[in-house]
Amino acid sequence: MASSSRAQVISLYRTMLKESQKFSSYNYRTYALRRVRDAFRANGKVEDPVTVERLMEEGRRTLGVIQRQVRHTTDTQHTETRQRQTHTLSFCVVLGFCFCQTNKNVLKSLSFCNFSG
Amino acid sequence: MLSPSRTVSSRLLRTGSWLPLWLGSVRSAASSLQKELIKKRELEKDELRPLYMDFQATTPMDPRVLDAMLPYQVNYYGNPHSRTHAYGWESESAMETARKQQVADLIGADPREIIFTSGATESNNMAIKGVARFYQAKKRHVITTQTEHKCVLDSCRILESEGFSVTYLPVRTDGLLDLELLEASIRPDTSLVSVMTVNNEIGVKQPIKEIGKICRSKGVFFHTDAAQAIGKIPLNVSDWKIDLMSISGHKIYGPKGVGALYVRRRPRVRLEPLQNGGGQERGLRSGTVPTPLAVGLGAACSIAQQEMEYDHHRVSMLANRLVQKIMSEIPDVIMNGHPEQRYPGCVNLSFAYVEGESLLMALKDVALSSGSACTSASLEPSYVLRAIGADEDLAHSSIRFGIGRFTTEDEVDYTAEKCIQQVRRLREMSPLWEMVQEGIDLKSIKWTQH
Repeated sequence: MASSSRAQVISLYRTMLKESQKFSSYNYRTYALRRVRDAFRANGKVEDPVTVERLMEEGRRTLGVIQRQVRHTTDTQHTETRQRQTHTLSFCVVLGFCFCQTNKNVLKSLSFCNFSG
Repeated sequence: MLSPSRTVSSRLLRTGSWLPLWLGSVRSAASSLQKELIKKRELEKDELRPLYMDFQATTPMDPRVLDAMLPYQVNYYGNPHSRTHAYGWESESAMETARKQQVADLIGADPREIIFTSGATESNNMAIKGVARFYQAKKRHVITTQTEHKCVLDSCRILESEGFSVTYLPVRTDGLLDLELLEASIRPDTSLVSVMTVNNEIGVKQPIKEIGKICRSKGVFFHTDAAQAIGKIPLNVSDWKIDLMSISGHKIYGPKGVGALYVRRRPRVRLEPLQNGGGQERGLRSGTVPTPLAVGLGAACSIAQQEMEYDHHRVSMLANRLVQKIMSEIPDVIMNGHPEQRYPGCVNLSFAYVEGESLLMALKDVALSSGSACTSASLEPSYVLRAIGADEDLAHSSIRFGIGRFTTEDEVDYTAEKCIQQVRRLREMSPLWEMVQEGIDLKSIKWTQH
């Protein structure tokens, strides 16, 4: 199996930084960004293709960890509040839309209201 | 802002009215409701949570540890002691991997020497009470130090009530144990010496290698509480001649509720088990081993082994930054404990002429502690600071800064600046500071008795 090219390494580095940016916790986010950057910098001079491949595998596994944990460690309380807020907002918009309808369309708008919220 | 019921009821009570006591209870119910609402409002301010600088109390879980644990919480939920089906086998395999490749590897032990427990407190209890009670026929003496964790001191107190004699060795003013004093205290009937590796309050690192050599030469078992040391400094139980070692999960970015005890097999250390039952964990600690927690502990240990050098370098750098910044800006700041023989991430500073609790209140948006978490409920100064001979007033004004893997430079800078600002402000308000500025020696003042 051919060793990873420089482009692949850089692409993995960019992806890991992009995913690390998504952590909602300040401490996890800063740690992930810093650790990924320092790890890639420290291993920048490695020439041996076997070692490079092993490190890339490790990097891909860590990328998976970051992606999963970004999802798991999202602050659920705040997301719930935000969801509830957008829900009521959409309901109000639809209701307002319904009331703006002319008398001819009252029946249509009533059925529309039933589907929302 | 007085609530109406409060003024009404107090007026009525003053006039000696016959109005029933339920009005008083309504008043207390209203004030307790107010307290609850205030507490709830404070907890909901999630966006403005304080900076965490208390890594000795506990540590956040590393995301890699959580990732390792989750499958065992959700899908692979079998009891590791079930021998008859795949659920049991896969849990057992995970538990044994944690034991062998991760925990044992970190300290240079054999996997059969690791017992999973519910934490370092349980491990300490098992080690001290277990060893002392097993050998009690011939050996009735235990040695420990005055700066140990409360669970060690309390276990020794229980042993004293059972008829053992316990020597609590004093420490020097820099927090280190005097080796000659230790050697002189060992008697022919001593069964155990217990000295913690890194102190959780002042961060001092004891000369464990030398203590191990003394104990081995005298034929005494050596127990060390390594909860704060493991994963942070390199440890080897064979090099350091340690017979028993306590490990805590939640101090090394692992889960809370799990720990381990290392019990040497060659030469064999016998323990009387504290928890009896189905004979799990070599009969020393019966009970189902919590697979996800054991896996988490294993993952935390293996990550700590990989990251030890990087973390140590970073924590030293941040601790130096904090201490240099604070000490260069404000005078009369003392660092408790030996300046070199220490783990850098635990910085205990005493600010003279400032009260510790008021400084903690002033530093509201940084999570700090004065004294250890287990003694923070009481208002007495920490017994560790008293043991190192700190003055009473300095012991009251000490703050412990904990720096760990996830601390950033910005957090350290903010903490230092805030600390400097608040200490200056509190000192300006302090009459003692005024007197010191005028050149009065505070020790010469005779405070009058009323």
